[in-house]
Amino acid sequence: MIGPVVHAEGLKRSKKNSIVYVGEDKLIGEIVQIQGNKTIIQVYEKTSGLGIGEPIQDLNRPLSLKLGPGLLGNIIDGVQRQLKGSGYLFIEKGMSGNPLPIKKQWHFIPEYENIKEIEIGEKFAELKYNTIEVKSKDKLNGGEILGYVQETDAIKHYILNPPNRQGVIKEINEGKFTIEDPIGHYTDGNPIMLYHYWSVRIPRPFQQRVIDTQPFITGQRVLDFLYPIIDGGTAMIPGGFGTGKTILEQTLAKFSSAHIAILTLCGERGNEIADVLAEFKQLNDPLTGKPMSERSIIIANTSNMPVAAREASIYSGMTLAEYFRDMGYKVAVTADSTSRWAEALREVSVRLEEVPGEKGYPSYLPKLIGRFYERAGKVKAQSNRIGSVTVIGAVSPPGGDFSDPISQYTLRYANALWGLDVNLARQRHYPAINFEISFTQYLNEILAYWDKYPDIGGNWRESRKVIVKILKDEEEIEKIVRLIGKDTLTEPQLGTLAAAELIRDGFLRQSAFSDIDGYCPIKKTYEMALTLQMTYEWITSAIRSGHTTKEIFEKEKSIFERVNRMKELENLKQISEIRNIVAEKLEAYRKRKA
Amino acid sequence: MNTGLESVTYQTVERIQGPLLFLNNIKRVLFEEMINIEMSNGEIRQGQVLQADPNLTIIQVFEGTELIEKDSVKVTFSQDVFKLGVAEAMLGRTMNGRGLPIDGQGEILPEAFHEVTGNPINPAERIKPGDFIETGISSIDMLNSLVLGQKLPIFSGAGLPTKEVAAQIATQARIKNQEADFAVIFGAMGITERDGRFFQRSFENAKISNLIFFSNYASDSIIERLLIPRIAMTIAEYLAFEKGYHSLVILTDILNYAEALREVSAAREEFPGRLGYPGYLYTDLATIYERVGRIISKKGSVTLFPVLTMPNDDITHPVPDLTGYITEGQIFLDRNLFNMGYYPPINPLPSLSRLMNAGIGKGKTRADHREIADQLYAFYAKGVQLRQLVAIAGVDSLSDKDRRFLKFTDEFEQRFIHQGQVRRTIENSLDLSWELLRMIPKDELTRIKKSVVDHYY
Repeated sequence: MIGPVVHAEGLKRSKKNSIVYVGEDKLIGEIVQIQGNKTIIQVYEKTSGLGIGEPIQDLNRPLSLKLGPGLLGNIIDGVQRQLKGSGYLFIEKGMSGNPLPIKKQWHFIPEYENIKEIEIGEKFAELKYNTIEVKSKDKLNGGEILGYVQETDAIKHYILNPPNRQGVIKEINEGKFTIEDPIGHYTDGNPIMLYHYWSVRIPRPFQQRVIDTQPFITGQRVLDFLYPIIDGGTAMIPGGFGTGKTILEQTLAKFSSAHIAILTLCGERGNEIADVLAEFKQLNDPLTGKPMSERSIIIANTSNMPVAAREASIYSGMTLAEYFRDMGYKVAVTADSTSRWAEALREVSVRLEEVPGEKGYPSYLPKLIGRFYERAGKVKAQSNRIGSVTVIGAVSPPGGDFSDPISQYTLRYANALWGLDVNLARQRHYPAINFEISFTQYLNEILAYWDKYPDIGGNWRESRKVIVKILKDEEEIEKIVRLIGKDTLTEPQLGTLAAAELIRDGFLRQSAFSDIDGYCPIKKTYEMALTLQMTYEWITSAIRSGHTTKEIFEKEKSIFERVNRMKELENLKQISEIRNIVAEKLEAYRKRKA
Repeated sequence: MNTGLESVTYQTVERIQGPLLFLNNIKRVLFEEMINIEMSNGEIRQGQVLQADPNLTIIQVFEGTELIEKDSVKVTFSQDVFKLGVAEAMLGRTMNGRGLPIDGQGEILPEAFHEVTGNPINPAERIKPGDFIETGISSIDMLNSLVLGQKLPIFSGAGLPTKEVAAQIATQARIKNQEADFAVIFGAMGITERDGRFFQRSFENAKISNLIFFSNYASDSIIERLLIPRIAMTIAEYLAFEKGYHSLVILTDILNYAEALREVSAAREEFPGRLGYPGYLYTDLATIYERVGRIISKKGSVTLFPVLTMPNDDITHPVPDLTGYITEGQIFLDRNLFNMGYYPPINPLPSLSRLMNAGIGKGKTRADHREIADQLYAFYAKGVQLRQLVAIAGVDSLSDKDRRFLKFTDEFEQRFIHQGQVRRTIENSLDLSWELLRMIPKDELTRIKKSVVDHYY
């Protein structure tokens, strides 16, 4: 016994990854290595006080989740013990906890909408569709929909036939059922249940991947406008401590365009979890108008909870996401932080005396990270519906140094990087996204998508180009300033600096705590960008006509102040009013020139 | 688990290395079991099992392994894990690294026995901390506000007035409208006796009677050093969650703790991580820091100030780095500010309090608090940047606007940061903030809502 690793002897026919109960307190463990008649087990609970010679019981099944109604709004640990309402103030050894509420009755209806894809928000309510009734003699394939229970006001929980189960329905009934009551039977006599088990380490099967680009809208201007990702895409957020990683992850879970948010809080702070819980109970989310808790699940493994369960929590989160994906939902998974997960792997690996790879991390770590991000995507599920899993993984590089192995491995598998910058964070510029290192590989797809919607993004390509150029130029000019001071700058350069400041302060900076600005609709982002683009053109033409930047900003102070405060406006008309004023000014210079 | 069996004595020590004993042929042993070690001269020491393996059991000895003789030493397995006897009567006492009184005022009758490793608070039973603590220091109260149930480390460097700042916070901290009593639990880990005396004197002068002082000075055992934070947190939890106190724990110095952990890890020949610290340093520190917080159904709270020295003032050193990832912000003491003669030399820019938003605003401090804080930050950050520019290109290259920022920055340091030992209420700090902000034209206060500016400017 060393920390979370236990060596056992005499277990017969044990399988790798099988779950076992260790000792008289029945601590949950998983078999990770088999050597001759020695079995090596990682224990998901505190091993303090466990004695040599205590018995071990092999459950002979892999670490699995019990998937069924009762998950939403819940908070579970890495091995699906419900933490809310468990009656335990502290996580104790051998703590029992049902994976799903056992007493609650669900109203099951054996029918579902004949639709391919569930849209986000209003569009769905307007949609016309037929209803498919599920009845006796129906032949069922794996993963097909059997009906639904209205789990929360916001979400219908579709009941799925287990992915690897085929059969013919003998009977299936509408009615009130607890999780352990059969809702019907197959012709072979086996019961049909509201739940099924699925192993966390095995991706759930689907028919095929779907390539149909839609943006994954986050409500954060710097992301949606500069570094957008697609629905079913992957992004990583590396950032040293204090750069706002956790707040950003939570903001994304709250506001992004997904039906279901899965928050995997892996090796993080207990107080943060309390914070998320409290907020999700109150917050009326912009998509459903209901509390956020109705469409989210939290997996909590604080940094002082047993390290092996932290390792499992990442997979548990992903499995839950795939399960809801298979119902046809768009699911966002945030993992905070994947570095803590990797550290848990390293800790167990060291105890297993494996040969270490880079910085002591096990050599199979890059493979595992690759597999994790590859579970993202938009698919046609076994249920014939299209669903997606979008993955956003936080990385906590030691000392804020992005050359660490976890950052570098993740970079190869995540298709976008939202890098957080300690200097921006110190200026309280949030989200502290660094413009030098951040990127997205989805840009062309997204731009092509917006081209189709002229009212939202008709000029997106153009204004993005202009704004990126201003920020790039600013960087260069700042370098000169650092060397020889501001004196030598030309007027156009000063104009660029002023415009860049407007963009950073008035556009990219966005407070997660602001009632109005916490979530920025895509249309508003576009309107603001267009206004800034035009403001820049106005500044440059004024300079070309011989004015100095200082003059322009002093004379038109009130207009610039309004441009800077556009984000405080809710009504888009007010933004276009500001743009019209800027347009007039610009027009005046153009005419003069003509 | 207590097996209910009689304790067993072995005489099979095979190897002594560092603070560890290595034994073979141990039939029955519990993970983290308590051990009694009897030396040939009759001296009794205590230890704890680090690795439970019949072929090679490893024990760490609290008092160290000095002068232990391999063949004659008798090792007795207690059949139980280490438990601390806790009691309210510990308040006002001085104790050693195993929780035993050393102040000559007699024994303490335990009210209960608790495992010192503790159990993690169920995150679903936590309540989000939100009660503002007024420390009386502007750069903390205004810019990095503290709340009950927070863990906020003090990052310092050698030679900086760390102990003065830590003692000032501990003795001046106040909570509005709170009847529950404060208990201060101080864990000295490997600090000098001189520093220890300073703390004890400060607490005496401030007439803090609800103090428990755990002493482990630089010359004491390193294994006890590993035990002190756990003992301190165990008694803090007991007082908070059983007796309704607000426990304020100060642990100093975490660097000494981490070095002790590294020493044991090296003696066990474990694979080293960064700078030789063990790969599980994050998890280990978390099992201490994460014990703070509040529980929905309980009155009290546990708040923690870990104090640590950054070797060579390097914030990326593993100990401050990992600490920063676990704790809810940091108070950063700055050598430049110290050299300019400012006290407390708290630099607001790298400092942070993650729970600030929950503790401030209307009904707690004042409605304009958040925005002023953001604005002060932004201006100070800008001013510091401009200073670098001036160092290269001279003041001449600056615009009038930039010169105003420079002036603001100087005044901010002289008046706001440099407050000395004087206690300022949050209202004093808020008013002083507006006084400073008025140095800048109204329309440049872009971080503050227009209506707020109009009201206070």
